[in-house]
Amino acid sequence: MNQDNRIGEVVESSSLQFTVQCYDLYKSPNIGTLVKCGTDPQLFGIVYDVSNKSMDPARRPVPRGRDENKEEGVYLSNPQLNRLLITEVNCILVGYKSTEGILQSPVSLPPRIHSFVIECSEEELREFSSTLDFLPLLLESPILNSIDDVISSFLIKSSKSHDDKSRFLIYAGKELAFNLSGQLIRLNNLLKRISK
Amino acid sequence: MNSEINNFISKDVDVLGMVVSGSLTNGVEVKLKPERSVSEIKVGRYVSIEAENLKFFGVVTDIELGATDQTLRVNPPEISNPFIANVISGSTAYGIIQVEPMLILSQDDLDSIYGPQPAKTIPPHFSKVSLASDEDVETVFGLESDTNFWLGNPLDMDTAKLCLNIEELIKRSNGVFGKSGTGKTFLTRLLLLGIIQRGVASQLVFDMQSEYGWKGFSEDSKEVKGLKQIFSSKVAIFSLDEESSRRRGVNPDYVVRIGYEDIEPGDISVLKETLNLSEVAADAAYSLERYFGPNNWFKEFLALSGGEEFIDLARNLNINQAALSSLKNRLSRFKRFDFIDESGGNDSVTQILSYLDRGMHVILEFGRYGSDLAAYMLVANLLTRRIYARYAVFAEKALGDPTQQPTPLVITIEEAHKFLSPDIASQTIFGTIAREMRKHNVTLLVVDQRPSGIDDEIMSQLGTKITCLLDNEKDLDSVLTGVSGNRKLRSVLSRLESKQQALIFGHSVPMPMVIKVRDYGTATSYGDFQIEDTKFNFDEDNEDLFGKKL
Amino acid sequence: MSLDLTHTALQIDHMSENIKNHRQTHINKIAKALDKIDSFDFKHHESRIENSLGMFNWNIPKISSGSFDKFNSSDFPKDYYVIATDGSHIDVDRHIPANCYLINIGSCILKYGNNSFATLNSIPKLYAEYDDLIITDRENKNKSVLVRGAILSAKRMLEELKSLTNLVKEINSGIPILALMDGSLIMLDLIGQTHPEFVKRELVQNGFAECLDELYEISRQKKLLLASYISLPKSSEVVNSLRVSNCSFSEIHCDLNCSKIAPGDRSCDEVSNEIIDREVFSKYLNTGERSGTFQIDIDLVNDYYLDNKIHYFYLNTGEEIARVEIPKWVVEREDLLRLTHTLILNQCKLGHGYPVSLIEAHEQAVVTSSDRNHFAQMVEAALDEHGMSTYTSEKNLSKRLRWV
Ligand SMILES: Nc1ncnc2c1ncn2[C@@H]1O[C@H](COP(=O)(O)OP(=O)(O)OP(=O)(O)O)[C@@H](O)[C@H]1O
Ligand SMILES: [Mg+2]
Repeated sequence: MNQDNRIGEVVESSSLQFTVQCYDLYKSPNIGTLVKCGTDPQLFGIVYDVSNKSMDPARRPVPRGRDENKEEGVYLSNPQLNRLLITEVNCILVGYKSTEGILQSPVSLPPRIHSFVIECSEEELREFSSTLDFLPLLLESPILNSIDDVISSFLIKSSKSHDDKSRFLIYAGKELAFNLSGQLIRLNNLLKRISK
Repeated sequence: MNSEINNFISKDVDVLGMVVSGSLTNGVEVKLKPERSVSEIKVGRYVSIEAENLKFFGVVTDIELGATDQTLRVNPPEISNPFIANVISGSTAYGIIQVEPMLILSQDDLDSIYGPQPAKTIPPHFSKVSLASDEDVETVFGLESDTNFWLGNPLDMDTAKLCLNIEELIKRSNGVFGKSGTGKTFLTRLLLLGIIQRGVASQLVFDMQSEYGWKGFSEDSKEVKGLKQIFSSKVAIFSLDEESSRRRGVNPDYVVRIGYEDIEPGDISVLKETLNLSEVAADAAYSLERYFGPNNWFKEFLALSGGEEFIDLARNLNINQAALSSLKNRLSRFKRFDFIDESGGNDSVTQILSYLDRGMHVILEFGRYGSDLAAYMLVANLLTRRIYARYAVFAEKALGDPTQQPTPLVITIEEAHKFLSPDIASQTIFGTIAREMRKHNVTLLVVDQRPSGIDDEIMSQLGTKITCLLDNEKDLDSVLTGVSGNRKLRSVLSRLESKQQALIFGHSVPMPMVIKVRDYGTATSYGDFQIEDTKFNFDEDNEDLFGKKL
Repeated sequence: MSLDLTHTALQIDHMSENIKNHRQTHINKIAKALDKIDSFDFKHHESRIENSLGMFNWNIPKISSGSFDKFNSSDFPKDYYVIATDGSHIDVDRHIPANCYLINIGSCILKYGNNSFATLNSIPKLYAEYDDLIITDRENKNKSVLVRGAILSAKRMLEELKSLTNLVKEINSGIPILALMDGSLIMLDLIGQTHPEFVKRELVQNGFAECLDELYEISRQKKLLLASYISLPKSSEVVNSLRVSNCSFSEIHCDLNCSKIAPGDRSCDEVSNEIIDREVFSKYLNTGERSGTFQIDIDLVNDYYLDNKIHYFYLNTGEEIARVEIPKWVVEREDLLRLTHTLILNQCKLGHGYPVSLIEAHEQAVVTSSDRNHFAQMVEAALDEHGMSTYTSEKNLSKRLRWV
């Protein structure tokens, strides 16, 4: 990863989400990571999906390691793989930075293609997670059904940026409970995840 | 930036939740924030509600449990996991509190000179509700000062002092209520202290149990200091029972003697119930007075032997002989009262007045007579009637010369319902004082455990009521008659703790407030008074005849 | 009405019978060719060619004594580069209102061994300048041809080699570099058609050959291997060269001797005709083996390639018989030749039968039909923007809009 935690660039975007192609194969932030991109306004997203795949959808990777002893041998013998395979990260947009600070609300314009995407620092994560107004945005996300994993890993990551980790998690848990009224089983599962 | 988690983390525990519904008549419903638990909030707790440019000050009147998920009961979450339990409580299972908005505190500096105004509207949806801060309480009730006396702390607000404006307080008659053992006496003692300390009135205390003057006792039989021990130079102890006083180590300033001639028929009618007199029998006193003359009737009547003489008198007065005989029978009890002197009294009234005139506070200890209601009532009524009459004269004089206004007088009576019950309230001097408000600068402080026994009209005349726990329905009704927000206050009142908590409402407070009554009886508590005394003391040399501050 | 499958089934039977018969003769012929190779007499071949005095009409390579030997690959070095380029183009299109063409050159650099890495790249270039659109005779400015069709293909091939050359130049390292082209090192597009001489001079002699010269120069400082890889070669030059010794006439003179004889019936047809080189070499070479080298002996090379003679060998990659073309300097050095063989073989293995570097270069170069449409639209849009009304022929319009 670059020194400034730059991970890649936006290659596809909408006002709900964006896709980042990472600069380096397999060098992606994991699910639940807070990233930022663009300037004026700076947008914030949370990684909800990471995929490794062939850059060209028409070209499927084929097994290459029959004669290799070790898995890494495949990559050593086929250096082009690092160019043909890509790691893509999908992020859901959760807010933007305005003059009043970070606003957790839907964004009105998607990030530009080729916007640099940067993994947020711990301070930024702390600042961002100091309110959880965007939780409904995620919880009701039409994008995917594994959103709960995203939320739980985001919250666990965020908790580590706060001084009082467990207090943060309880706060977050209560916000979840608030937003998941009527979805007790889902809530329960989410809470179990973040309680570990 | 509005940083919720920072609030959360920095334990900004003051924010409770937000308004979700409500009406002016029923108050507003407040949904607690997820991280709040119902158990940390008590009925009677004060809250502030921020609404655009207004700030409401209100009181918690009810607490409920709600659940966002109706399956919660059937399908409880994994509360064995402490984290989940912690989260669920206060969120999925959340708390609702009912808040009665009482006052509007203007945020505007200009408006704030008018002080808090009664809430004639309610805060809009989603207004933020917080626990009232010390400053809020100060805004509402005022800071401790040379008029404001710290009486206690709002419920669960140990650092906020609730102060009563004593000057305002004594402008009208007031009441202290509560069932037995709830702290009426301690509370009253504090009020008396407050009045002494602020120097805005003289006082006459009918100390039935002899617990205000020199020393009292707390429940665990520890001695607590009486007023004289704290303000020796401002308090005079009068005693009806010198022997008892001396036994208790009190050297009374004056021993009261009441002569037969001091007793008037009105004093008897007050005792009608206590002495178990019929209407006719009680009224007979007036006939006797007419027959024997104002100063002699009691003496003459009691001197009568039975037989012919008596039958003649009955015939002459046209009173049923049995009635007259029962009156004689009851009144002869008075012979047993050592303080009643056949040979004549010692003009206690003048004595008392001379103390009062000097701005001092007279506490009349009843000693052993405290347990005899008839004695107590007789003396209280008798003295008060006379003192009041003198005040009436002063007041009349003052009409032509305002500087002649007498120092206001506050008269404290216990078992007030005995004097103020509906059937005699119209006849007793206390009823008159209560009804006339401060006509002659005299007001009452009535202390009672059975407020339902007091005439409704008089109850409604009481300016400020401070009431400890009451559990009798009638008592609750009586205390709250004519008070707005009656139903809510009733629930607050019936849930007060059994001691040292009181609901204060009425004329001298902008809104009803539940307080934990200031501790009394510890070294620190006395210390506080001493300090206050020097702080708020006024120079006695600068007092005029009526103790009025120059 | 539905197909009568009973009838069809009979016909299919018949057809496979035919194929089977045909195949048998084919197989027999290959076997004979193999025999011929086994007993190949180089001296005899040489003398008969010599004696024919150019009357042998078949296009055959110069065979050397080792041409029919078989060689195994050797160990390959740990550290080496493979560089490949490939190109594609969008031809001048009369439906596009502007005269222009586009060449896209894809390239792939693979570094194996320590610090292995890959660089994949593509550089498209639009040619719309007058000088790009025609090739003019330097001697006579009035003579010119439009760059399109075969000439454009040749120009593209030149660009591929230029790009390859540039990439080679950028590598400053002593380790072996295999520079690989897709297809032939011969500008086949300029053979067989009557292109003006100045075109060949311009594109081949002044272009391609010059590049080869440059590469040769580089090869003297670096361990550079140049090769091109032809998959599924259809050539039959080697097979045809067997005709020489199989000719039943005492003196070879094709026109004279055999012009009246139907193809297939000539004496030389016994070991050739309708079979191609790779069919023979697939039987001849074991997996991983290559043949000896053959030198291409055609006019285009002889006339315009300057000193850059081109040789080739056949290689059994395990998946197919490929033809690998190499310049003279590689052939002349045993070690370079062996290394070329070895590295290409490994490239094929890594590419599952096709040199992986070429696959990737091709992927970079390829211009899809949607790219083509896009390109046309972009040109139109650009012209529109500059106020030039675009005219599109009805035919093309109907191709683009699909009627309902
Ligand atoms: N402000 C106070 N500070 C300290 N202790 C108090 C206070 N108020 C009440 N108590 C405790 O509660 C006990 C009862 O109080 P108190 O005697 O004033 O009750 P009461 O209402 O006057 O009872 P009763 O009706 O029997 O006269 C006291 O003895 C004391 O122990
Ligand atoms: Mg008491």
